[in-house]
Amino acid sequence: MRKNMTIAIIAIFAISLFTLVFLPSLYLISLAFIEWKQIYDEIFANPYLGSTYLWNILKTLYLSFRLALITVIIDVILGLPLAYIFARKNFRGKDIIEDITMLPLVIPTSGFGFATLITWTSSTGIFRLLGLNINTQTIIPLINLPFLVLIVHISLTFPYIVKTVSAALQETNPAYDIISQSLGASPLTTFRKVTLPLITPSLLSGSVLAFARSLGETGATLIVAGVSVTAPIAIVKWELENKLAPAAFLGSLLIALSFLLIIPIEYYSSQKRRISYSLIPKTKEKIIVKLEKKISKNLWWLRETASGLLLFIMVILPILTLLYTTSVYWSSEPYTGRFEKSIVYELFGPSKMINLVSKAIVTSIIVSSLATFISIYISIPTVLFIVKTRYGEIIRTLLKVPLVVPTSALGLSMILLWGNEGFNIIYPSIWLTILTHVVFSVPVIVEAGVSAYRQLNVELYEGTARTLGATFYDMIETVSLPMIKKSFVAGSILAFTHSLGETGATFLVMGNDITISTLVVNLVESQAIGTALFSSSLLIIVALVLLGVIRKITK
Amino acid sequence: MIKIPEIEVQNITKIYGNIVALNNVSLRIRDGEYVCIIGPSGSGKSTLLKIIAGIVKPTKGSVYIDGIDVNNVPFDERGIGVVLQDILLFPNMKVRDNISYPPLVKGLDYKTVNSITSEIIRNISLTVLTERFPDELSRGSQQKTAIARAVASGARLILMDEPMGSLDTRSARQLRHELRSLIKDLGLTAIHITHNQEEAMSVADRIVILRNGKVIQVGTPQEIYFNPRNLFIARFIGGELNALEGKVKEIIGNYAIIEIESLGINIKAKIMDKINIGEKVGIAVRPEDILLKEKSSGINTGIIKSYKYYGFYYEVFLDVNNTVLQIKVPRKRWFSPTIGEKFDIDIIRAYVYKYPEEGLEKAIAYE
Ligand SMILES: Nc1ncnc2c1ncn2[C@@H]1O[C@H](COP(=O)(O)OP(=O)(O)OP(=O)(O)O)[C@@H](O)[C@H]1O
Ligand SMILES: [Mg+2]
Repeated sequence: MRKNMTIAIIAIFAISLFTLVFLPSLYLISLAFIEWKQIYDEIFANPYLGSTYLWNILKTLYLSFRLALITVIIDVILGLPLAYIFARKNFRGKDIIEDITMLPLVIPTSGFGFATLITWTSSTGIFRLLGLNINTQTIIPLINLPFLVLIVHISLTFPYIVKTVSAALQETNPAYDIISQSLGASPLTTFRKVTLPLITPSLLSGSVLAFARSLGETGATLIVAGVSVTAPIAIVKWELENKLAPAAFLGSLLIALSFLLIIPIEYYSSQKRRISYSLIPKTKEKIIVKLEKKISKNLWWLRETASGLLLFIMVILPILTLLYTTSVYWSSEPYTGRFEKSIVYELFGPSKMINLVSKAIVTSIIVSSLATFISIYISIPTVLFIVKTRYGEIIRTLLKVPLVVPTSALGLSMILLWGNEGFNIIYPSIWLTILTHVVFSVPVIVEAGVSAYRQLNVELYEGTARTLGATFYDMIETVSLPMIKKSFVAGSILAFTHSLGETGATFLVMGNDITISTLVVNLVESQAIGTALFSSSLLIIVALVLLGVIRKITK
Repeated sequence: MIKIPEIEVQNITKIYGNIVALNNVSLRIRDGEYVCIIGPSGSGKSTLLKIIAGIVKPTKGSVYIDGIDVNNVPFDERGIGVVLQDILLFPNMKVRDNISYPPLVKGLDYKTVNSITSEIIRNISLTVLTERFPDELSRGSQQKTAIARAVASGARLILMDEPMGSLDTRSARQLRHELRSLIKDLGLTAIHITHNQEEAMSVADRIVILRNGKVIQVGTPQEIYFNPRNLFIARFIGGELNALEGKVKEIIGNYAIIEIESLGINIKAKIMDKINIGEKVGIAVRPEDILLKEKSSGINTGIIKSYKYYGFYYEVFLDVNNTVLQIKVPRKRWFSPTIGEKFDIDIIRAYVYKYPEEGLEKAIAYE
């Protein structure tokens, strides 16, 4: 009796995990195979457009991959020194600086994109004051990438590098540095020859995350992209124009390509083997070593300064500029003093934007709460399954999939899966948004639970409980769950903030139930800047508060 | 001919917060000497080593290498090779690359790097292992590689912090002698830290004993064993000790006749401190310096309370007038102890010290 029930529960859980989390991530690719004929007719042999779609798809992919690649390269260059400082130095206020570094991972991307936009282009931003004339059309020569898009992508992805690398550095013995130096190596040489090989696996997996995030980034990119069209933006655009075939094809290409790139690297870096390589032929070492000596001796200050500047320009400045601009425009336009141009007027005046904003806020709160709630229920058994069974690690790896699937591709997949082309049960609306958010919330919560389980050595205590006569269920209830509860709650809050800020997928699946983070994009596009300022500030402040709560809980 | 350095440590004090890790330590290490620093946990051994190496700056005092104050010479320019407990060969490099690392990172050209490396590998007889990674080596070979690497950096002074680490005793015994001959063959000076007195006794030219951040005795193993300067050293070098209270009856040259009331006997003991007749004193008697006599004649007699068997000797706890003495009895044809059996004792060597202010127990505690 009890056994049958257990099987039934496991079956229900497995089915819901599969349909709610894995299926949406993979559906789009399978669709490209199933509907190949239709895709072929529209994209490769379109009677009206020829291969225009194909060219556009290739163009956006080329831009997105180039963008992601350059972003990751810059992330690594800028992020490594910061990771090094976090891992090896102790100073007052280090906690706070670490928190600030992680901000871009939790604050809503559209709000952050808007903050970056006004920082670089508006008259309240510092760069205008410095005489820099930058706008969304500014292209960086040589690499031929839109400047603001690159900046935003760096801001939103460098924390992945810092996080994974500083964790890896903390695990390597700092005495290697001392030994190497005592053997006559300069700090830079030590880094290249000793430290770097030791942290390479983590550097790679951090880079993969950063790359995937850049490849799929939609919310902030929509705001700063101007006329540039990255792949995720093309998906959003085509979907909104009801051009499903090219959108779906591009989406599945994007997913497939990110897998092709990510899986081998993840596999390589998860192998616990010695990584031994040398970047420079031995006969040329002499020149490099001398150069490194010189740089180490004369440019040591660069590390701290570069790290500080990175944090300031990429994270702190946009947030401060946003809040500052909001306060300046609050009750009147600062230059003319006109009330009609103020935020208050826009919100409460004849256009009554406040109605739009408050409706979006309510929608967002419902979405985030319900999505988080459902995700928690799926996550608890998933965590137990992962830590308690042999096949757990497979599930854990599979759960990384939703984290690297570009969100706009995910959104499209959801529409096609649940809407009238697929199951025909749920159409773009608040409900589809909730289901979509469940897809990426579950992995976040599960990962928090699993890593807490491993770190706190829960297994050991469970073993003790069992030897004292507790049944499996007693043990789960009285030992396992209480021990990982805190991290679970922290993970849930993190999922909640992600949900609050998600833009790329939400844009496609929300129908008329606009969430606050997507509203920001609409507001910027329709030039309702006052309301955009207000909403972005609100989003960022809420994210900051939630971050503070997470910190309190996990301390 | 490369000059082998002479190290002089002068009045070094190191304070961490409110912990005095080293308190006015002075020390001189001669060319080509193999010195062991020994002391209980927390006595400041590692700190002293790090100060000599230049990894840690002293609060006060100076280190001289060949007569030059190196306080402001950074550790990578001191020509010192450091081998720490967790050896720390670079795990991503093969043995050969580990050894060629120092000349390479100093910016020597490829040919020179190669010839230096090959020469050292030959000297140290690691040839067959050069293509292995460190985690494929035995602990002993790792240790050798680490020394080879230090030598390759041009170091003539090798500092080793607990190089035997957690090695089991049998392998440690063999390895420590290999290390010593290696260092002697290469003509290096070495400082070797350990908290194992047996290790220090068997390899050191001289031993430095640290306690609570102070040097309490320096000497050859024999000097220290036969002239422990205080009760603590008497216990530390030797492992166990019977610390007894006595009273000075008579002084004859370097020796004194001491009455040990608790045992009800008088013994002859070597005078280690300034003492006066009639004074209360502390007596150190090592377990191996008490003999059991084959036949009991009823004088100085004790009863066996318990014993342990160690193969080549017995450790016997003998109750003499309600004081329990610890005695090491080598295996003998006639000796097979039973509890309750009676034996007479003969104390063949003892040391007499001023009675310690903190009491006998505390004076010999390892803390
Ligand atoms: N970096 C530090 N900060 C604060 N206190 C320290 C530091 N390093 C050492 N100490 C303290 O200085 C004292 C001496 O430490 P040291 O490591 O030199 O002892 P040790 O003789 O090597 O001990 P062990 O045998 O345990 O290795 C100890 O009380 C230790 O706690
Ligand atoms: Mg130590």
